[in-house]
Amino acid sequence: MFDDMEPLHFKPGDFIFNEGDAPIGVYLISKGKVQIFKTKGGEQISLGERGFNEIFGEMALIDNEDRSASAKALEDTWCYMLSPSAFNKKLQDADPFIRGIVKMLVKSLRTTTETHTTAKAKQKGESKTGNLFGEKK
Amino acid sequence: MIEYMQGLKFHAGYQLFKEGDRPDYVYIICDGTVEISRKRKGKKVVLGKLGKNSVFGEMALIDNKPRSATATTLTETECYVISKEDFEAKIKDLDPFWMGMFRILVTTIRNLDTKIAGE
Repeated sequence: MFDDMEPLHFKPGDFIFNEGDAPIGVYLISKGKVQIFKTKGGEQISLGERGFNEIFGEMALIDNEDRSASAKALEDTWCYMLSPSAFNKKLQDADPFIRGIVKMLVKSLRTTTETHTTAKAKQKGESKTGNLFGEKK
Repeated sequence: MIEYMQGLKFHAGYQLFKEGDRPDYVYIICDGTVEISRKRKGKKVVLGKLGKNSVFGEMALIDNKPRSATATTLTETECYVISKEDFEAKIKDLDPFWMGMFRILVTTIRNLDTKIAGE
């Protein structure tokens, strides 16, 4: 599927993107490990790790909002990056079954994100307590 | 792909599955309208209405978790259904990119849903 692409290489500690960056695409890890985190008060709060054959940066597919978290390579890592337009091109070439499911999921993600953003904006006006992600670990 | 599918007709107001159910099928609407809803604090919240060519019920089959929402027909509805077994067979040999994409999208949607329910 990515025969026509060269994977990008990141060294341990390299930032793949930063919180606040404009999103350029979605990533698939072909080798290595990536940490997703947010920075609060100078501290890095991990949101999880991604490894071989896992995807990150998927929100780039649905909105033009800046990255809500950072991604950093934990070891030597190779990733494929697909811009939203390249993604749509791949989707057009995919099996109709796959296309139907991906389209539906992307649509659900968009609806859910909008609902979440609206709820969050409302909440912001009412209360300043609660942690960063609206949930306890 | 069609050989996997079975065409079924449902009358209006039929509950195809409800929140918390164990997943059995993926649905593709050939004709009709289906409402997707969730219960929040005892009240029904409509998440969306789906029409012709929409696919639904796929999330629970991708990550093998209970249904996150309820699906009810609003009109007489004709759907193709794909069984859990056939769906699993279909995605087993899938390009890892699409499989990864399915998983991450489902996880992100579920996490957001949980946050919304908590708000």
